[in-house]
Amino acid sequence: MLDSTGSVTSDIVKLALDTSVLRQTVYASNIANTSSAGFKPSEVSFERQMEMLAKVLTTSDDSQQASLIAGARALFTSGAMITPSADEHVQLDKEVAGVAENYVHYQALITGYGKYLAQLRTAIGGGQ
Amino acid sequence: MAINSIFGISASGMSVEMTRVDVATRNIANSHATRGVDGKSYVPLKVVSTAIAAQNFQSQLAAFANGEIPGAAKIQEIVELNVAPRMVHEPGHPDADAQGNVAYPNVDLLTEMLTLTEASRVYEANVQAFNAAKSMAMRTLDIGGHK
Repeated sequence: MLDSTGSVTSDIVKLALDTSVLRQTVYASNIANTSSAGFKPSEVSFERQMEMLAKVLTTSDDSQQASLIAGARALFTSGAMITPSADEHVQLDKEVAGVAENYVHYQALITGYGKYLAQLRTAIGGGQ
Repeated sequence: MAINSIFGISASGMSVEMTRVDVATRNIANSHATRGVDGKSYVPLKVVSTAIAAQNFQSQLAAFANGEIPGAAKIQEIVELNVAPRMVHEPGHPDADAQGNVAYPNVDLLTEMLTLTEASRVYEANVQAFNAAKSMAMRTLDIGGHK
């Protein structure tokens, strides 16, 4: 339902975009510190992200959804989304591949969100 | 989430790798310098870099206050390598000691060349990350646009 412009779709897309930017930041940081002595690479935990999304998506109660999204947002500021990578050293190929993949993901999100907004536009225009 | 901090992080990585190339070039250029400013032979240098660590919000704020970007790389110090000079018997050399030995800087060309190659590869990877972030930032402007 397109009940309001503040619907859960927008919130979830925002979360996903933020996760994508956070992931890009972590990749950039790993690459920048490739030659820093004793540096251990980090990554954005995919499991945490899925856990977070699954909770939001399985609830249909609006107020509960809002608090779950607020909780997910708090994960960002506390840095809980960032976990140490299993690798001991930065692997450049892996990081650069991650950058490329994340970029495509980000594009897909924006394209998808654009389609959602286009639907809204159609609804507002009365299907004209 | 600020995409801008990615630019800073990648730029810091590029700057560190550039310094590494600078220092390696300096070492190679001076591999036969028997007389430095202090009269001694040139000592090869090495760049030591570290990460500006900040995984939680509090230390991120502190890092920002210091003008540092959390997650960026920075040069800790540029140290003189603790290696003995390469002694070559050249009695006619103006810098020869009493035994006719000349102290040449112990520059390991193989290591320096490896540093050069590795630094330029990492520099390229930083450029890739930078460009991806730039494209992402540009793509954000398309949100809600007519397609």
